[in-house]
Amino acid sequence: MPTQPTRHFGKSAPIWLIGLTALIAGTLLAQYLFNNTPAAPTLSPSTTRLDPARVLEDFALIDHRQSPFGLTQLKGRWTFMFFGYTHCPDICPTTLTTLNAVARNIAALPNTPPTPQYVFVSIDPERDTPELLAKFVPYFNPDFIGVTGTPSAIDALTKQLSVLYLKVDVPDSEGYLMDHSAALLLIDPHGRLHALMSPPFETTLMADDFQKLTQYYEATQ
Amino acid sequence: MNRHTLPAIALCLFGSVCIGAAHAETLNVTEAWVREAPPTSAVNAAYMHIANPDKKDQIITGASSPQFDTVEIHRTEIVDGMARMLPQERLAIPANGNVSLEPNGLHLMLIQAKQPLKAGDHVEINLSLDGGATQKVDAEVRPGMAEGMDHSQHMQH
Repeated sequence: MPTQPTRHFGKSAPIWLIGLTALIAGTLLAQYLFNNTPAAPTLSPSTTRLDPARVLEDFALIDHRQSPFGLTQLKGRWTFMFFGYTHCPDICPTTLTTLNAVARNIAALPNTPPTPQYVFVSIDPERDTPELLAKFVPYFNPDFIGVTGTPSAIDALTKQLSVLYLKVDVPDSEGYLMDHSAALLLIDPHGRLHALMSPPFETTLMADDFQKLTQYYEATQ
Repeated sequence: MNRHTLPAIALCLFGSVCIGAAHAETLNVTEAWVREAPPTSAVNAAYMHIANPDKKDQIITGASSPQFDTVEIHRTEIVDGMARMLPQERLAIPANGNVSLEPNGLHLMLIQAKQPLKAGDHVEINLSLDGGATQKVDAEVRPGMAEGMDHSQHMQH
């Protein structure tokens, strides 16, 4: 069958070329569809996937159990990371309770996505010692990790993640307040900034987005 | 929040005790709660729904609690991805209107608890009104877990 039409069309170079082009295009398309990348996940408006994921350099912080916390601790598993401070009465405890609900939702998902770790990084090292974080962070969930360090070590991480914070002196209010980025960051098992989740937080959608992101990540490795 | 004003009206239909109370309590404060915080927490927040059934605006000029060193009115604001807290000198409750103090918004910042609080405890908060009156509010301490669920449901609106 294929040989006969070729002889007829052989006289006309443009048609022959079109046929060859279509064949190559078809092969490439089939490869793309069946062998390679699935479509990028459709996420809720609060979640932004970084494409490509942002590679991070090492940093030297300390967790609430006094163990070193650097890039090594981000590798091999997914991490939800949030920046805040313990002298924060409203948004930080609210976000930690939100994360606790996200953890519950992720654990309840039918397709059992990988279990992420949850890390609260202090942007107020002046007051947030590992001891203080140990009394604060695990209170919301015993698996949550509190991280602090020297101001320069914290900056080494925040700058890579485009996280901003600012000390604001207020006469009362426990001396000063901290303005800080409100987004939750998602770090992939290669230790790369993979996605951002912005408030308002909706815990069911966040768990769904996490599932989609991890599935897509695994399918494209 | 009509369901909350009804009991107040019903209560005030009975006797002279309520007439006295009505003078001091010009605002209807409902759903007042405090999130259970780690015992070592230096700060906490109180949330509530405040309705003003009066024909004139009411201004809350400050707040205090016998259980905390200081109480301040604050508002959390998220602008361009940055969260910040803005101390408020006053809080206006419009005539025939209401204001909600809720997570990631307006709240009373409770500073330095004299005794650690746990879920089920009550916090007495006194709102100072412009003109010198004081209104007492009873806020229940709620566990953070339950609030996390309430909060996510709330965010679906």
